[in-house]
Amino acid sequence: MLLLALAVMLGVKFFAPGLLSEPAVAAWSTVFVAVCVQASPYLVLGVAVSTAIAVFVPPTFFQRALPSNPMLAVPVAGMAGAALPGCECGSVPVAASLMERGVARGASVAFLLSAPAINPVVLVATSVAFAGHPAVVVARAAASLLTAIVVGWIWQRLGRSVPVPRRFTHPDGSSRAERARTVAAHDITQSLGFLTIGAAAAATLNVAVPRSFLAHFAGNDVVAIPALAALAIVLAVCSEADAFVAASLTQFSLTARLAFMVVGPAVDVKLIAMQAGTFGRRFVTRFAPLAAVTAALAAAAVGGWLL
Amino acid sequence: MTSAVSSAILLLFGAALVKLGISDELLHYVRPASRPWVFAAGLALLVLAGWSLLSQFRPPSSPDSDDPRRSVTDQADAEAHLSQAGSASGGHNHHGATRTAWLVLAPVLALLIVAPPALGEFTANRAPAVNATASGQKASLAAGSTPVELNMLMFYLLSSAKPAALAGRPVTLVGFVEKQQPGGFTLARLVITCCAADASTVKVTITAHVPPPAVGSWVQVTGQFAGVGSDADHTPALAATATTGIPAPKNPYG
Repeated sequence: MLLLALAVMLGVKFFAPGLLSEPAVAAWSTVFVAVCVQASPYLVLGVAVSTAIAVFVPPTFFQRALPSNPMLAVPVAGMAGAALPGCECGSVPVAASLMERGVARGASVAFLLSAPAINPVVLVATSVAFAGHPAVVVARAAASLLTAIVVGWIWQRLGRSVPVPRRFTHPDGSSRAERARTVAAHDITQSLGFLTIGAAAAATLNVAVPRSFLAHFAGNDVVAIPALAALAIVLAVCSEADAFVAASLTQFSLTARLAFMVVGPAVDVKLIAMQAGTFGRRFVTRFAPLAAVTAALAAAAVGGWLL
Repeated sequence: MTSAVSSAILLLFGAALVKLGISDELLHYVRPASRPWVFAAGLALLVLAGWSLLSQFRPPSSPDSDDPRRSVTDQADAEAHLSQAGSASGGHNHHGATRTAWLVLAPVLALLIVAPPALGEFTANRAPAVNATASGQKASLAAGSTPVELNMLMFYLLSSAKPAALAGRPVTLVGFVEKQQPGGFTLARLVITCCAADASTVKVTITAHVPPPAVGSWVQVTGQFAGVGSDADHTPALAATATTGIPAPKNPYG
């Protein structure tokens, strides 16, 4: 596969340089590299946290910090998401570590959904992008938290049949440093690898979908909300930047733009690829549709009420 | 040796990030403020991958593994864990993990061999216009009549929020030619928030009496604000008095 990729790239470089000057191909490769580069620091941060949880934080910590009733643990974990500043890619390895440390599956997915959406960095970016509409910030936090809690509860009830693969774990005999290295190397390789698939998908859609096409959906919220939810899934814009993209979609109602910002951090092509790699395909085929529909409904409800 | 391969790939990716962290090429992909983070992430990956490689070529030196055979057992145990995991999830096994590592090579090769260029007129044609209402109120221009060099985004914000500040003031803008049209051309600059994936466009209609420069070329245009267009984005116009070709700026995004 490596040789094939190398051969293709070298072949293109030396025998068909015209292809690279083809604007769509050039734009694709720029967006692909940009998504990978931009996500890397967040992945490294996320993996540092996930490694700390997996190796240095004792499992008893989570038993004490979270309510023992798994249904009550869901909203607590959802709120705790506010403490991890970053965008969505970093929270995947962290949620995987939480599950491994015995945190209930509902609480773990609530954290997975809320961390990229309601942290202070994202909310400040949202308030800058929607300077004239402070209610949008409140609506975003409320709808994202609502999504995290509802999906967490549903997953706690129904997610039992979806086993989550055990990650590489060294036997307890090896030193902590060795275990930390193994977990970190495994998690970062895994996340980066699946990030590249997601980045390729996002770059393809970024180049292939002209935004002017969207204008057809702007008139009616019944069409506009699903349209912008779908756009959020295919564009996979980082949650720190999505408010600026949403702000630029001026022909849409605020509620439809809220749906873009609530769905994006919960489900997008980049996250689907990373979650399939980390939690398995069975997980993602159930979780992604559930999270996307819940997020769109939460945005419609909160938007209708606040905006 | 398969995990040595994944460590080597991780090492390459870390090196690519570090190299990007110290070069201007970084600005083709992400905003300048990301530089220290990209550099630090690359460094962290270099350390992790280097450490992994070293420990694969020498017996573990941790205090609790004094038995040289211990590492062999560890390895076997680890393999057992992995194959368990593999059977539970279908495909998530050691082989899968190494396959995943190969994927990381894609951005490395793209950076080393292709070195994708900054986004240009192709994207400017398609990306949505930047939203002026959000930050327009903060736009300001010190009063005066001396010629002033303005960022395209600032010019655009002023044109919609405080057009009076621009009246009669000669301004200089830097951007690239998005398209030619009768009596002038469209000057464009892309604006990014996080990375090139979220680019939006600022456009200014230039009316000039000189033949328009080639599409995609960078120019510096001096002229006077000439009102906003009747299109949905209220594209401002500039009546040019001078148009000079310039090399692409280090930071292509405004």
